[in-house]
Amino acid sequence: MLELLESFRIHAAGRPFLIALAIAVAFGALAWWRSQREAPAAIGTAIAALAIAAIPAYAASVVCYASDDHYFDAAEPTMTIVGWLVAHGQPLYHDPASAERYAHIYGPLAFVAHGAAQRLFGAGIETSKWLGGAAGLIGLAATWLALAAVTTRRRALVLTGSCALVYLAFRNYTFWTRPDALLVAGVAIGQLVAARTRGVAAAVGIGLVSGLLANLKFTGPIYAVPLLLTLAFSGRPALIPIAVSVAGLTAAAPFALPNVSFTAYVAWVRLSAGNGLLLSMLRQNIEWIAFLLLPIASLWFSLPADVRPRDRRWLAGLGALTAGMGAVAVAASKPGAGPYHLLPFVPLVAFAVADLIGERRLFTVDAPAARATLAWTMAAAIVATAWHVSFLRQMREARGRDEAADLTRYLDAHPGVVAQMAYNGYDRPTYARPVLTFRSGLYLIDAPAVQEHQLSRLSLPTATVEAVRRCRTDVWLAPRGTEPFAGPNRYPAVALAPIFPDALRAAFQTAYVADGHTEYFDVWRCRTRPVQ
Amino acid sequence: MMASSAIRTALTWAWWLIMPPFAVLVLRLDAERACAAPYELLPTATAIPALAWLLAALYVAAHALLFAGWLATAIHADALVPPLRTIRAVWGPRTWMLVVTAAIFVLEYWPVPLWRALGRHVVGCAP
Repeated sequence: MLELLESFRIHAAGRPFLIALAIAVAFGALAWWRSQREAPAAIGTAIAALAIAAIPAYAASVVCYASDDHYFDAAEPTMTIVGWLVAHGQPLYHDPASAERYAHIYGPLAFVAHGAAQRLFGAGIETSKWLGGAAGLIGLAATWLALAAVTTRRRALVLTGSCALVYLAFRNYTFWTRPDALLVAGVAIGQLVAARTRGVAAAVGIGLVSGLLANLKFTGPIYAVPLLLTLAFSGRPALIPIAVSVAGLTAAAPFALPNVSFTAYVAWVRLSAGNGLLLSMLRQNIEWIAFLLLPIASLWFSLPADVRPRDRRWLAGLGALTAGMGAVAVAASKPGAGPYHLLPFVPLVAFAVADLIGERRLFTVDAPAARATLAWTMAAAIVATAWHVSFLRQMREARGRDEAADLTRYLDAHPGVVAQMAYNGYDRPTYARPVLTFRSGLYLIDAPAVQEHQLSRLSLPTATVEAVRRCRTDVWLAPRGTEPFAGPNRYPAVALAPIFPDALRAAFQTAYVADGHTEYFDVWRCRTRPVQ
Repeated sequence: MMASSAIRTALTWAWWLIMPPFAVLVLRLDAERACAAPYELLPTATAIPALAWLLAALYVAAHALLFAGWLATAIHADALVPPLRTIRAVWGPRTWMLVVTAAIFVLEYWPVPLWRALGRHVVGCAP
């Protein structure tokens, strides 16, 4: 059964719109067979049961993930390490020619937030994971509070559960350490402010959230547009300049830090903008947009014609949402991106639905629309189950390994040693690498960053090769039995070329010699500097 | 009714502008799916940012046109899934455009494994 589910996940779980369509067609055929002209009364109950069940499942998954000291994605440790470096005064966006290779195109807040959390709660892998976990849970709670402002509490709960279903269909992306968790929570909080506050307080709150969103990713402002639009229809358009000013100031604030360079950030983003697009990814993103917008369409037609909202405010909000999703679909077609960039739109879609249905009676007309709503919920539940069963299995397997403790034992046994991680492709043991930087304060090479730079046709600079040749690091730890700095770039666009150039591997072999191993890592020490 | 007639005329003009180049793009993509790397489509063209953006704009515009066409029909029919007779009543002699659009999108969304099988067993171009 688990194998069947895994096979379904690999081959079909990325296409929820087609799954929903297939279920809806099956329901339609069944209704035609039974000569059933009206939607069964139980549809609402079935949708509510599936959606509400997702809330405790989501909360359990968050707690399970955050209390586990393993990462499950190659870029998760990067966020923690670079956040820690920034909190300790090191540059966030280093010079393209510098020896350090860890610059990414995420906005400063994505890292500053992790640095602040580690300052506050202590440096550790779990701290970074709880930051994402808290963002996931707070975002969901904020969504419920926002929705309850425009519909009944029960319907708000069902819609919040639907959000949880969609989140679960994206593995841990809404609560992982990468910026997506903060983006989703930020949009949900912004929606709460827009729904519950009025006047200048709303303008300042929405402006603040918009600035934070812009600061997390360069696509952040797109998610903020529907929030800002609520001010335009509040009857006081003068509030918009206030919100935009607050947003601008908030977005600019982190660049006032001496180690956060705006020009360097823009340079890295511009470099990445030249990476081209993947049309196969664009198709997947558009399918996800169709899936996310389907409940709005099906519920709109489930309402009697005379109570459907047609006012400019609702239509403009929907227009901004759809246009924003289209823009993000294109931006998220870059190599390495994907439909998870649409996740911050989920609370906004839920709010549009809540605003649409309010307290109006549902499923009284257009039986196919009612069946489509149930089909959507079932498709979301199926995809969420497939992805989450796989993710839980991955978490269970990880519990048998403890690379972080192994690294800590090595560092305790060799106080003062500066150790770094020598990659071989994307080996899971390297995900424990924050432990090394917490001790030494050094982070020379981040494999995900180097991979991105290579995609942007930026070669590894001579300074990095020289830093290796001159033993800037006392020890490199490579996953047991692997060749350090070997392995391909995973992006097909670079035709699986080696991530690291021959010059780096030659410099490494010249400067370092194998010197035993730990439980999970081979130890390579500088030839001219024995480890005490 | 006047407004909906104007919308249908605008959609027809947009169709002539967008759908022929989109059809050519879809055929080219399907050829790649059948005979080359199925997920790394048009790698040379999409690696050039300006060309990639142009192709993406065409791709998104075709989907937006499909969405707008469905919306115009669904609102006229007052149903999520408009019945065939209403579609024919709304679009009249232009119904063939919908048929062609549907065919293009079926080709675009046809499962990749089936394109691979076609390339391997029928055309003999896939590895």
